[in-house]
Amino acid sequence: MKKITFLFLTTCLILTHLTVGYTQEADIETLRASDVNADGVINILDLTLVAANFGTTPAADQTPNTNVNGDGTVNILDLTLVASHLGKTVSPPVMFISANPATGSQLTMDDTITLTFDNMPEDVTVSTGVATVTDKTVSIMGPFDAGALTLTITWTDGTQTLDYTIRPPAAFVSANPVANSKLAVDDTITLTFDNPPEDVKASTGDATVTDKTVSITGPFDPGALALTVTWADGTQTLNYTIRPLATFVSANPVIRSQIAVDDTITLTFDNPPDDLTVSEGRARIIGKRVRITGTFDAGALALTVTWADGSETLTYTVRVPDTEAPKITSGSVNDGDKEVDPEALRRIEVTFNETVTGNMALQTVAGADVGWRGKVEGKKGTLELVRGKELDNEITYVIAGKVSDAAGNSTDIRIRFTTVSKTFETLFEVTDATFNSLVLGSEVPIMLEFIKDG
Amino acid sequence: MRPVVAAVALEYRDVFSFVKLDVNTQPEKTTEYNIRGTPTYIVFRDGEILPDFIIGAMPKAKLVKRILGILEIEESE
Repeated sequence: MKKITFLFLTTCLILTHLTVGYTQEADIETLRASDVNADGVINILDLTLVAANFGTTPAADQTPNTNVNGDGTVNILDLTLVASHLGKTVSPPVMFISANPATGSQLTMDDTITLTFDNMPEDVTVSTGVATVTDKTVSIMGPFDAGALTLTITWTDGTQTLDYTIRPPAAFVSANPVANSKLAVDDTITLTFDNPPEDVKASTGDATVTDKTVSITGPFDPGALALTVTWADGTQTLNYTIRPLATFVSANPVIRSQIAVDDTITLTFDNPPDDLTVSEGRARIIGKRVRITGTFDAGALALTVTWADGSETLTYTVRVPDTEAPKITSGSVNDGDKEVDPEALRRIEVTFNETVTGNMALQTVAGADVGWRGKVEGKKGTLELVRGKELDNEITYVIAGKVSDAAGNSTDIRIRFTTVSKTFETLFEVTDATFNSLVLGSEVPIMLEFIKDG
Repeated sequence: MRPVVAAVALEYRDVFSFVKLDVNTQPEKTTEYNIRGTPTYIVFRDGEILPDFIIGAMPKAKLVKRILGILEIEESE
């Protein structure tokens, strides 16, 4: 064994001598193959390894591989090759470590891909974009074409292929509702982009991306809202006014009651309603109240009120309009009455066919108030005698006034009556002297009344 | 004249006439007809006194009924 080793070493020395002065510019692959033990230096240890395996046929992937020239057999040619580079140093191959963003991810057209190596790579070329080598990193800048990108990076020691999807940048197009409008606390704001946005974040609410639209849902706090939406390609701030939800509280007249065709229905909400419409009549919003005025059709009314936050249907019965004026149905005295006994008349009543309001007074024909106490209440008007205001004989009086029903129909009251003549009682007073002629000589029956102080 | 008498006189003026006589100032007829109180009513027809005096104040309807009864007049409703 010692003899064989000695023989090889002798041969090596001879080869060394033979190759002294023979210098050649070897490529890096040849130098790395000659550095059989891969310690960075081609020396006697590499030569020994080749010699030790002399005559063998190692597999191509065997480590260390003593078939330096790659011809399949370890022979004198391999020894000669190693010997020719004795003393040279060999740098290890530069290895790709990682890419950022990682292969398989999505990039924008203007993104930069940064590759990291274990050492500074040399002679870097890229299939797309522009590569800049800085120490152990290679930056590859676009612009890249939108779509699938297969990026091949080649350097002295290797090749790396990375796959990406290049997406076009997303630009904000519009918002619905438009900025500066008024929203409800639970409204949804929809933003539209020209391309699907990435990494969307909203300063308020929850953002949901669906293709080119972003839906931002509340609830939002009532008041001013400055909504800032940020995505991979930009940012957008939208200002809104958030109004509180309006809930229906009550209606006046109450639901299911009777109303007139021209009645006003007042609705009350807990907050001012927005975008309110009504199925019948006209609506006017005054703060938290809504006044709905007719004309409504007579009969059943289903009034649907719709506003931004809800809907309510109110049912009423609309009365047939009352267009008839109140009528006098009876009275203590009637229009045109004559010879009314003034002493018997201490209270006058006038009855109407419906409930009325208004006034009534007892007047002279000339329009002077006699001074009786007048009152109109329910279906009756009354005139009460006031002490000292007794009626006189043979005078025409007028019951005057005006009454109106609930619908506003009115009637003027004008009842004229005349009291009995006072001469009636004095005409027939007799004395002892006139007795025979007035009583006994009368052609009509006589009723003689004996009175005292008459 | 009390209201009742006035009303009856007015209402039945086409049937009979009412006259009055003051007992304080006309004692002759008061004594002649033996009037003891007022009011007292006596009915005359054709210069003759009809039976039954009506004595005392009363409601209109009753007074009318008594007078018509003395005159033997039936009033239709």
